Amino acid sequence: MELLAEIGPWGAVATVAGIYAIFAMGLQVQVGHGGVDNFGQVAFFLIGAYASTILVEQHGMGLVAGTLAGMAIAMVAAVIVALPTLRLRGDFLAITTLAFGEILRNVAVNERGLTKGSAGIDAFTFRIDIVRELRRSLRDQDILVDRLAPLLILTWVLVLVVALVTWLLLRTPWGRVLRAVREDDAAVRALGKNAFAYRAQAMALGAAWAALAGTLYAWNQVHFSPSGFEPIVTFAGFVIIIAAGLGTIWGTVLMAILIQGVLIEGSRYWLDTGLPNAQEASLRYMVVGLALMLIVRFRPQGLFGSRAEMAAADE
Amino acid sequence: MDELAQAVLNSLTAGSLYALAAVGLTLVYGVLRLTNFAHGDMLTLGAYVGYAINVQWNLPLALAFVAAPVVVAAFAVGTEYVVWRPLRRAGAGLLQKLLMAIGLALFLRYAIQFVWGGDRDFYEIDNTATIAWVRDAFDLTLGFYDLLTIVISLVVLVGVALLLARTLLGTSMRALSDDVDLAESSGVDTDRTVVWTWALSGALVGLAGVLAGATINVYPTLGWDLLLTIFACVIVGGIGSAYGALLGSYVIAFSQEFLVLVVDDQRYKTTIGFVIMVLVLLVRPQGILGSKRAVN
Amino acid sequence: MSEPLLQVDGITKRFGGLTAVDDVGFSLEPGTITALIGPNGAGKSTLFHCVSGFIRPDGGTVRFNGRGVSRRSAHGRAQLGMVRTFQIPTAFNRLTVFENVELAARDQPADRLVGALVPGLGRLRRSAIRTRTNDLLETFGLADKADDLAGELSGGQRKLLEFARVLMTEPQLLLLDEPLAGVNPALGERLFAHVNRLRSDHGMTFLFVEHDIRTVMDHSDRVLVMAQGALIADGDPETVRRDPAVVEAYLGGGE
Repeated sequence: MELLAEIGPWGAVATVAGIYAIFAMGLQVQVGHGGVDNFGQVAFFLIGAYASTILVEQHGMGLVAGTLAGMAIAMVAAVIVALPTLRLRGDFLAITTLAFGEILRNVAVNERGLTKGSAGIDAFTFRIDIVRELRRSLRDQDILVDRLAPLLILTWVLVLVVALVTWLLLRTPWGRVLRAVREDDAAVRALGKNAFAYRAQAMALGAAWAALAGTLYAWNQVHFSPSGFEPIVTFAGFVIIIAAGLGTIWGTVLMAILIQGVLIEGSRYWLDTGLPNAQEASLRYMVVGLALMLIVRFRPQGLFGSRAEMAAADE
Repeated sequence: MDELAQAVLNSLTAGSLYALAAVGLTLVYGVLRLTNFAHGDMLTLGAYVGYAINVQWNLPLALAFVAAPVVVAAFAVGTEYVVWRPLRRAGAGLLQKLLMAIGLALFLRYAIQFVWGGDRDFYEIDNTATIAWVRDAFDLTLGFYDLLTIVISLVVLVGVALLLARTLLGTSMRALSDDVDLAESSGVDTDRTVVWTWALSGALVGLAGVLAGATINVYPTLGWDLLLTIFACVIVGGIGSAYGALLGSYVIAFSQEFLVLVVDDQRYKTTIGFVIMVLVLLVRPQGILGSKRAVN
Repeated sequence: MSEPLLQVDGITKRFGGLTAVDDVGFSLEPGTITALIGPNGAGKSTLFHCVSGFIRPDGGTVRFNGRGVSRRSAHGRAQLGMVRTFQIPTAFNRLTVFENVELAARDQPADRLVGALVPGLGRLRRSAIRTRTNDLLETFGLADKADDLAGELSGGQRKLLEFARVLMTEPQLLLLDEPLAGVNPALGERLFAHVNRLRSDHGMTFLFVEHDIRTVMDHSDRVLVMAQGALIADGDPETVRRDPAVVEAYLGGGE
């Protein structure tokens, strides 16, 4: 029997799209619900990737424990970043969080003892312990699976779990207060609720999702280096949540598939421009930049959001 | 001792380069309250104009000192008409403006990469040439293009200072930075001032691009890599203040050069700039010379 | 031992060279309705912000119910039972009218992130909150708007909604910032009918800011007058109205 014996390039694309869906949902919680314009979301992605990898590969921690530890470290880092910066005005917050991401990337390049620097680091335990063992035992029962299939399935199960948890959380009284905070900070404080704590919690929750995405990224790459954590990762996340519409969770998942999957990762398989690869890559990101500009200008509410969401983002 | 003296020279060069870029960024912020994330990529554009002239067309680099400011200024003015003015008219908020700037930055950077490729390139100049008498007299290294950076920056920025202080345009720009409503009711032609602010900002950063191309080298993320450092200069000096940006540029440049001697790790130079910026934002968000109003 | 509900001492707030509030102190007895008036720029709003914790004063102390609250944040003070409204009524536009009131309730286990992660936590409390929300909406004539978005309400309705919302927090002291601003006289009367009822039924205490001296005469049992950052008069409405210093402040200071 053959079960996902050959998932082909689109299977790989779908895995990346799922990773970005989780990453962008984290950003959606922060920007769309907490009103925190975090331009350094990639920092938590980086923390998740490096922390889990270092803990698992160098300190023998289990894969699940390592993943959860990465998420926990990212949440602590998010609160530490939030404490001083959430009091800043919007554009300073954007610059500061962006700088935070770049500082971490510099550290990852320079602290070779910890991260192996620009040479990069290996995260092969998942591939070896889980994937190989799984395929071996399935092969004994005459079932063939592609070596990329387990992560593809795991990623999309996690996408659904994260989306469901986030969606349900935002419908609780907690989520309701968070929305109120984004609309009118002072009015919430006047009711005896710590508006600042709500923003910080949104930041931490979003950071946890980014860290989870980071760990999946590490497992998918097997070998990765600091160059995978440039600010463009955050911006891709912004393109996804703005195109979906601020506040929408399921729209974010859909847009991650369309933008990161079909457009950015997948276009090399369906679009033949006849250009050299490097130029085609540049063209892809030109389109991403242009798309962001056009959405912001002509449809700031995104495909699934309401215009009021974008307006409220400024208060 | 020599190490310290050399660090002073390096700081002067870096600070002069930062200042050219920072003044334009801060002027746009002052007049439009716009954080222009595409400013770094405009610097890259200037650097590549230099590359086209000097390497592709084999003309003297000197031409680039005129052409790059003109091209980048034209680009900046173009963005005002195509992007920024329509966005303001649509009543866009802060997040929209930030994302628009990011989108523009991405577009410009990858358009540059599309045209010129992703590799590092060098101008066809001898950028190892040093100033002989500095070497002989003090045993210090001062590259010819380093000195050129310091001199051009000094001359141009004195010119900008005069423009701000003495001309009607400068007065209008300062008035708009101070209080938009008051300025408009006092008869300042906002649209015209804004266009000239973009032109000036573009010209300055285009010039900085050629100098960066000559002293560093040319690659598509040249400006983006400098952008956060330039933000650091602007914020440390006080956002919206031209003199603040000048001061902040040298503060950041000197801090980088000297603190890097303390950390003893050249690779942390940019990080030092970011850390100082973050500290300033937390302690005194209006910066050294900025007004409280500009940050509220 | 009878301690005042609110004790304010020596509040001073400077903005640059300007002293907006200059060494102001007063106290409020439980169950009283006090007006704080003064011409524009007298420092009433600044004082109000200092008392409610939205601005940190340069000097002075605030005590509520016998405990010092000067170092408490705005939300910390509200949690103790001193709750304020805003000059321009605030409403969470993209929540329904019902949700606007419901979310204000104190002690909701699920409005904390940890509580929200536990399904079914505080179900009993939540149904009690729903009942109380419905009662309040009924009282303020908003019951038939319960499921509308707050953003669709008229100005007067927003004022009533804000009132219902702050009452949901079960305050002991309500600080009302210009409750009559932009309100037609009929609605003003209704608001103050509620105030009187809450005072007599629940012993609530009120401090409200107004700038027009005439409107406060019928509605308060004590009037504090500020001018140029200082407290210049304190007494029952009739006495204050005849106070030459007050007349001077209004005629000389205001335009």
